[in-house]
Amino acid sequence: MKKIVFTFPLIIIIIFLFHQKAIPQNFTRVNDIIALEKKLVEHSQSIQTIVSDFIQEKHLAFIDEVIISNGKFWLKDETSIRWEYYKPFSHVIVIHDEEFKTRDDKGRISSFNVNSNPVFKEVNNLIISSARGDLVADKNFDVVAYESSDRYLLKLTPKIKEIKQVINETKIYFDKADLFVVSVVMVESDDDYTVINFKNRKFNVPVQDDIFILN
Amino acid sequence: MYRYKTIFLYLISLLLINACSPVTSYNKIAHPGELDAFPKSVMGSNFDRLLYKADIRILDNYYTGLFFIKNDSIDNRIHIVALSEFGLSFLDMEYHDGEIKINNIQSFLDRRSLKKDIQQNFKLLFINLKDYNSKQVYKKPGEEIIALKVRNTFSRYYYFCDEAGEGNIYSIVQRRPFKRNKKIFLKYNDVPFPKKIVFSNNNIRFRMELDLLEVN
Repeated sequence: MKKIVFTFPLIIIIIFLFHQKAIPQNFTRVNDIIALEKKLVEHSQSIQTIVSDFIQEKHLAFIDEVIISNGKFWLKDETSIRWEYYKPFSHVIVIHDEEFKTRDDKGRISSFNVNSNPVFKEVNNLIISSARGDLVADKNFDVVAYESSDRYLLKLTPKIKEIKQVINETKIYFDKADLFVVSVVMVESDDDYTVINFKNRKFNVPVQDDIFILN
Repeated sequence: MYRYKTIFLYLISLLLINACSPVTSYNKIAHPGELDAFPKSVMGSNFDRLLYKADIRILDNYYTGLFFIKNDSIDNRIHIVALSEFGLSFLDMEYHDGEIKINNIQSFLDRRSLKKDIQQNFKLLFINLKDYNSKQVYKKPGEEIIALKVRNTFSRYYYFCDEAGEGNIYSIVQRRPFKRNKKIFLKYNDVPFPKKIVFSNNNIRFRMELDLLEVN
């Protein structure tokens, strides 16, 4: 009996501590996740184009290094994407009509089916789903939503093996003011993760179709 | 009659093997002191970190990204991490004590022959050439090109070094019985590390090009 009296509160404390750790600082859990999804989807329907700068930080914990990349991102009609990297080397990646094209710093263009690069495909699906706002209903992930004074946070834990092999968890931060993604954090292991921060975001600005065509 | 046929076949095989050798037009140098002309290893260890841009083709699939090489001099290890465009690592290896160990590899690369090839490629870049037991040095007549032939189980490796070109190793060829040669090409530009490294293995339809972006 003594043992139970001692063990039970200890378990409660441990559960409480783990629960606290799971909730990001300054965030509280959103209980009505369906309402949030509706809000995100409704808002995304009013967005035809997005143009944004981005800064990407790769944190490699075991060697204590951060690798920084930056560039510009274009999205049009949820199906056409252009990632243009300026640093550490200039190259362009375009997804248009299910085709994946790259142009390297020497102007060489390569064209492939988007399904040929599984890692790339998964990350792009995440970005497109974020733009559409339909991540909550995505059957590939367990989704938990949080909010702070100025951000929504969706924590996505992959359910399927193929995605789990690539990413343990994805955190997507939405700006409450414009309901679009400000930051994507892809966690591979506890201390090994990638952060993509979107800056200078512009919505519904004219984007010519030819920027998605590499010749 | 059967005996003569067998001897004849052996002789033809030997002739063919010799004809395919990458050093057929080279003269063997008896004096092993020529080995001093070679660098200690292709990459050396005089760096903190190297960043390479990577273009990889495996069968009909294409991948791009970065190769990050970190020299941990305290731990006496070299960490090699390959990252996709979005920073996700698809290959994580370390070189220690003359061997490459793979810590993590994504499923699209996780094929026995491919893993073995990648491990071998990086081992050839980092291994101290003096650590090979069996070494023979060849020189091309009239040119300042010397070749080092080393053996490792069933394979023979040839390191080609241009004495005129600051003594850098510009090519490594692997010869295996009944298989096509596997090659690594290296180009230099001012820095003591290869500016470009090209791994190609037609047996498994694998080609990887690394272009140096940063040295620290």
